[in-house]
Amino acid sequence: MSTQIRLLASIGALVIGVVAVTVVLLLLRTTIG
Amino acid sequence: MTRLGRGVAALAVVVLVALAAPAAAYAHAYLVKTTPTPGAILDVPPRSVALTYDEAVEPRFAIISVTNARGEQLTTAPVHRSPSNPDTLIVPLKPHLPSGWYLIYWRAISVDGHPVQGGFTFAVGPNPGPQPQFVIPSIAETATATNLLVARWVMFLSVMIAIGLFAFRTLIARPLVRRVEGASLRAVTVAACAVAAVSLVAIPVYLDIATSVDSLRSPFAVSALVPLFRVTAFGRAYVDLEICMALFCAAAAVALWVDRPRREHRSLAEIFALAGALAAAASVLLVPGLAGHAAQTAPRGLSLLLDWLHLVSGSLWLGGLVGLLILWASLPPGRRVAGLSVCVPRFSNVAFCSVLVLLGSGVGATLLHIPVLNALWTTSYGVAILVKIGLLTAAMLLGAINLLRTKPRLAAAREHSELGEAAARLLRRTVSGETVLVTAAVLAAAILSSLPPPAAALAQLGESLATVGPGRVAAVVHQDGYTLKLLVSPNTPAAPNSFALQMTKGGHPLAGADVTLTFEMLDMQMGNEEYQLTETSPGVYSHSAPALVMAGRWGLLFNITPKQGNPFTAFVVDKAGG
Repeated sequence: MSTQIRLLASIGALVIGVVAVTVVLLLLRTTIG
Repeated sequence: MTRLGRGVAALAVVVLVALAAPAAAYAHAYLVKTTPTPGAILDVPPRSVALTYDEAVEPRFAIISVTNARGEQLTTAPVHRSPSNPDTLIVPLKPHLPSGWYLIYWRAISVDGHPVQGGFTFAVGPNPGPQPQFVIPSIAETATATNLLVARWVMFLSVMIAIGLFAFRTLIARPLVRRVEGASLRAVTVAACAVAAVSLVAIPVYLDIATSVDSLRSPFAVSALVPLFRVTAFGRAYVDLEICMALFCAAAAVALWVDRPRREHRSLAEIFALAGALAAAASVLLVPGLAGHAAQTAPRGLSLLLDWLHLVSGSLWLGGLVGLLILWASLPPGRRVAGLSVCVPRFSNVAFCSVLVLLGSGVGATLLHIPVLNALWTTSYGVAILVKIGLLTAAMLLGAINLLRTKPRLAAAREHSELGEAAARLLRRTVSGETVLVTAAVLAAAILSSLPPPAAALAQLGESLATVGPGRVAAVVHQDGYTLKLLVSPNTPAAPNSFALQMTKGGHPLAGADVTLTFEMLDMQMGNEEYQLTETSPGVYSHSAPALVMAGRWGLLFNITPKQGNPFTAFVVDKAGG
């Protein structure tokens, strides 16, 4: 497995984490906003 | 600024932001207007019943039952929302209802998923006769049904263990591979993936059962239930929990895939993937608070922060315990002691901090949810808290044995290998016991979060002059030199009751006073009702109203302004309907 693929996958994981945070922040806004 | 200083400053900012979040009182759904009005005697039979709530109640989860004295159901179609007012629910009735009394009994689901219910009567006249004793329809509170509790327990356990095992594998046990030749974390990785897969099934199963209970459908009627998932705030939050958990699983899979534990320092790719997975995990653990009591308890920012900290620390503790047991079972016997002596000291430090945070956040949340100390043993919610505290205290004692005895023995085993096996056996016993106790505490938490928190009005219990009922009331209390005789008849829920107050001072009736009576439900957060009492004879003030809309403890607060002298209040607790 090349370093580039590992880096690309990990950036994908980071983006997934940001998406999860965004989902919860939207839920937070609709719940207590 | 040092690293510690920056951490403290960041934490302070988070706490300040949380405290600055809007604070208000949040109640369960309650009625603000009804057609027909409670106790009304109508000349013309109504064609429908309309109930207006303080919030938009979902009709697919609401029940409005209209029955006659024989218990016959008189509605002709399901409940629907009024086209002109989203807060109003309407149910059509059979035409030409004959003369007589009728009971309207309703149940609705509040935004935090709790059922609330109440009832009142009306009559079709002109001569409906005496009001009969109605049988309350069996629309029981269902948030604590056994299948629902088990599903909730499995869901909480699987989510917490999956996240905790991932944290254990990537943050605590990672150096094991480098320091102990031939040791592997494969079993922990496989277990984390398996539990995460269980959680991805457990969340929709719980949502399905909760939706089926709330909408009174079979849990197997999936095609009818799925469209209802996103109808309530509670359902939307659990759909988001499933989405966040799936995102966490994807990010965690990448993080485990790119991880190279043999290298001491993580690569940029490993750090990115780990940060993504931890951010998703943090998001997952915020959702239960948003779907439950925390988001409905003022101040909401602080309440959500405490709930999140509680779940994070609980997940780290529980996941770490399960991780240690898996390591104990999976490490080759010859490397078990060496492997545990790497992981146990690191886990003990994390567990110690987790327990402190768990305690602090638990105490904070209890202070926010429990309005008065005796609610801890007088309400189901308080008893569930006490059981949870008991289980966690026992688990902490076992944890203390690990910290004070097992950890030093495992450290000493590096030089005296004969001590190692005994320490490892003790560790297995204490960690197994701790895991069982924490798992039971999660069940207590599942029950706790299914029960409605005590009403804030319970704080007034200590100020009550007397506790009266059930049944007809004729009680005498004394306040500010006045003698007050309280009469409640028949003191029955969901029916008009007569409330009278006979006031004297020095044996003379207290005429010409201004008296208002406020009703406050003490067992559930609801809106208050206030009535002006009229003086029917010198010193006797009365009013008849169907104010006790449900069985339970009611706070009756009399505000009395005498013609001469200072105003005063009298608070009495009335148990209606047993």
